[in-house]
Amino acid sequence: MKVIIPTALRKHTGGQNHVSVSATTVQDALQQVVATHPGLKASLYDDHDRLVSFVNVFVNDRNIRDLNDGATELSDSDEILLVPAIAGG
Amino acid sequence: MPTPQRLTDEERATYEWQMWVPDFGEPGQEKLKGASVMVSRVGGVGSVVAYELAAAGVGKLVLAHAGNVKPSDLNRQLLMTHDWIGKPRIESIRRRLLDLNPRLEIVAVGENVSDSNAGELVEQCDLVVDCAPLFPERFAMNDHAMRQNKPMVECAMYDLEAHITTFIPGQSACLRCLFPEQPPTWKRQFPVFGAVSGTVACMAAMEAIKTIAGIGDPLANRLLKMDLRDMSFHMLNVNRRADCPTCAHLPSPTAPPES
Repeated sequence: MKVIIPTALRKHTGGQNHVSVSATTVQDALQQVVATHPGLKASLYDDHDRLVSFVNVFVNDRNIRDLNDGATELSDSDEILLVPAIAGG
Repeated sequence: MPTPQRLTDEERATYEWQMWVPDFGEPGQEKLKGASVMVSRVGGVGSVVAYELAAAGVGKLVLAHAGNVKPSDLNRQLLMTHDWIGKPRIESIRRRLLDLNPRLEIVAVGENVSDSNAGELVEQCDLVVDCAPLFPERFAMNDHAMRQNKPMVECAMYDLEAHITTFIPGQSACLRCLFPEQPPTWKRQFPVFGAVSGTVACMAAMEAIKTIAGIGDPLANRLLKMDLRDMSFHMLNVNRRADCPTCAHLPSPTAPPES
């Protein structure tokens, strides 16, 4: 499955717009992404390893906050999107 | 929402083509004429929002933007002009809007939005379009719009990517539901083509028009995320937070009685 990397965070993925992972939960998927691209960790997790509030994580069109957070289960056809706060105006 | 204002013959002639939109018509145009919209700032996104709303016949714009025109404004801030470099941006904005629509009433403030002026500015409008480049300005507009029960169109961009959604107090998520805190790494200067800021700006103007006129389906509880680099568009569901410090106290609309 794909994890879509937003433009504002692509400096941590060498410019890649997505990272492919094989995971059963959102938490697994994000840990794989961070393992492959360690520079992303500070943008996604706080000092207590909790997801930061200024990046929303969606599975397809639903926020994991409205599902089961990091424990949200995934199927092969799911797409994960990272949506950080941006303010260009 | 505002009280509709009767159109003059000149206005009927000017807005004839958009009044052909069947569910908009002259009643929709009268609502726009009676409406006041706040736009801040009036830069890459806000310039185009304000220009489109002035063209569409919104009766009054409340605009806030500090500083003088710089050469680096001119790739995207379409209400700034080369001959105005070094002079106040807000005057360039006013001049260009009135060139297009001399009937437009403008409240022009030569400062940026802050906690100290947001309440007074929001009081003068029926709807806010948030186009600010810094989160404290965005949160100030959001908090006052929700407090005063005014809808707010939220639009933002970075590089070739943009987001847009519409906040309806008590009915949809607000900015703090979506992002309770600002990212500590956000910088005032960001990569931007005018064509990207203009794209999301035109969508924001249409959201404002729809919300005022009561047509279509505004992006309440939906965030449209677009990446113009590969032209991928995602419509995402965003919901209210029960613990939102800004809007959790607002009552939800009561469910219709069962028949």
